[in-house]
Amino acid sequence: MSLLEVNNLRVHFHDAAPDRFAVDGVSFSMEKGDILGLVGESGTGKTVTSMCIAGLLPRWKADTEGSITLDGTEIFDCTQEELNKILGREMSVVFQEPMTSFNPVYRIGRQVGESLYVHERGLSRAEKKDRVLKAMKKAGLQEPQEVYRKYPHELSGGMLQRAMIAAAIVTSPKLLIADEITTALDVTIQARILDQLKKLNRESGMAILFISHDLHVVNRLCKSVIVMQRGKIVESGRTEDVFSSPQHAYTKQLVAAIPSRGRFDE
Amino acid sequence: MKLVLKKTASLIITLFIVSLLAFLAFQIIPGDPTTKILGTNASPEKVQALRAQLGLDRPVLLRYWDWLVSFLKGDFGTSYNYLRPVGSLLADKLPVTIALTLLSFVMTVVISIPLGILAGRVRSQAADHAGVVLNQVIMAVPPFFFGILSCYLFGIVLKWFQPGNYISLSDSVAGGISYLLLPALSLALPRIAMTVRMLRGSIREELTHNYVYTAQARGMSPGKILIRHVLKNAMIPVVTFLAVSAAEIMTGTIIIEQVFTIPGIGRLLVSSIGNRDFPVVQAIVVLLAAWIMIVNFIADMLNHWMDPRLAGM
Repeated sequence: MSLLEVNNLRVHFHDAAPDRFAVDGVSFSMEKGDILGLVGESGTGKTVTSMCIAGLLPRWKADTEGSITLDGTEIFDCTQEELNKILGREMSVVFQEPMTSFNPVYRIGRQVGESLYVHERGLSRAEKKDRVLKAMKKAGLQEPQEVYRKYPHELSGGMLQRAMIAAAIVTSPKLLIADEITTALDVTIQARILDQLKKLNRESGMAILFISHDLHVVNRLCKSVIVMQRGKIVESGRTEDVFSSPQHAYTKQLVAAIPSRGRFDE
Repeated sequence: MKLVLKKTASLIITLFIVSLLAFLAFQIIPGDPTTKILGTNASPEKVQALRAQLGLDRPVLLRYWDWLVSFLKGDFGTSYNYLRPVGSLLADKLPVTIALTLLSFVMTVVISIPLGILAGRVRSQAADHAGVVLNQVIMAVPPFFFGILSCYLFGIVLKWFQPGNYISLSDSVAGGISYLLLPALSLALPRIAMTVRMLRGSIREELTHNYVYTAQARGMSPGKILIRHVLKNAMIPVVTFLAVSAAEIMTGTIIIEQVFTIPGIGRLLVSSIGNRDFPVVQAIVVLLAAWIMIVNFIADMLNHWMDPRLAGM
């Protein structure tokens, strides 16, 4: 049984035209320890797909069809309470904007440890703090004790994104959904974050679904890749194969459009 | 600590300026207290003698300085009209006004915050629209009108209390407080409506922020997200608004005390303005200004505690 199985996923927003699907028949699977890239231009349905997997797409906003199973649990059949037990424990999500993803009025330490507050109520304060500090270290934050006491506005974008990753891994989830997490960061910080994600994947076997429109970044991190266009998967396979010899016209366009004229820096 | 000292210094300077303006204002506005005391037919000699007795013939700034020094020592001067120390006059009236203000402010906070949270969470459009309309109606009606209506309904029709028959707090605390309930509610109602509207808007705005989705992604229930994340952020502008409300409630007592015949400083202020009883008016104006500034000082401190981003400002 795969860790994540997405079968024939279709999403239709209530305010869209009847024949316009944000996600249209998307199917793929991920095994434990996989790093899968989901690429495509803005508006191709990458984030909507990830929101469906995480059960975060409001049901009053869109109709969904198909099936998503995480470790055998059908996400679409879950009640909100059941979903809340999975989110932050079995599956974590990191969003694009680290500055706004943190609550500005609470300290970083408290927010990084929030999944422990939700899912592991039995832990003492000291145990929680210890787990938070360890997660911060794993996410590549230097001086975690210092960062623990800081407020979001006192940290740089790179540090905040690492803190977001720490918050996502504090419960050792099986799947991490990283939605454009390096987009708002400069190239040096991007590289460090990607290295950290690789290390986490190697050490803990945590699967990563990495969503990005930056092909360089995906090439550097992901073992396999899915290319989406207008809500559909147009190409998928090993990252190296897809980017070195793209088959679909859209993938060819994407590869050709990157600034280094289709060549990837290693 | 540095912030507290800075704010305290600013509070003292502002109070000084307000006291000076209050003092100067009564030297400029028309009307002479000696005419009020002696009548319009008094001889110029008598008027001159009384002016000298009251110290009104001395230079204004000198008089201000003497007044300020005495005020700081707790001596607010002597009422021209009652010929009693202003301090003793206020000692009778001030507790009533303070009780009325505090009661009304507590009502505003206790009623508006749960209602604001409820209004911020309500999903039904019909319920939301009904709430907005009701809110607007309550906001549009001035407190004195609520006062008149409640005097008629609860006093004359239902006979739950006897309008004008105020029970002194020193005679019976429970009796005094129960008499103050309706005037306090009349003062609080428009403030409640405004606070509910503000908190509703603030919560709805906060719910659209990314940190809410992050909390959802950690498996937090909507109720916990509201209490643990949204409320503190949503309350930041509301705290400032509540401080303004506390100040306005205090000044609002001046009229509502007339409606319910409550012997607070409101009635004393109105009669003292009419009688050109400057020492009384000056003392009340400065005390009101002090209240407004202290409440704003507390709100500033609360906001700094609630929003760490303000620490660097």
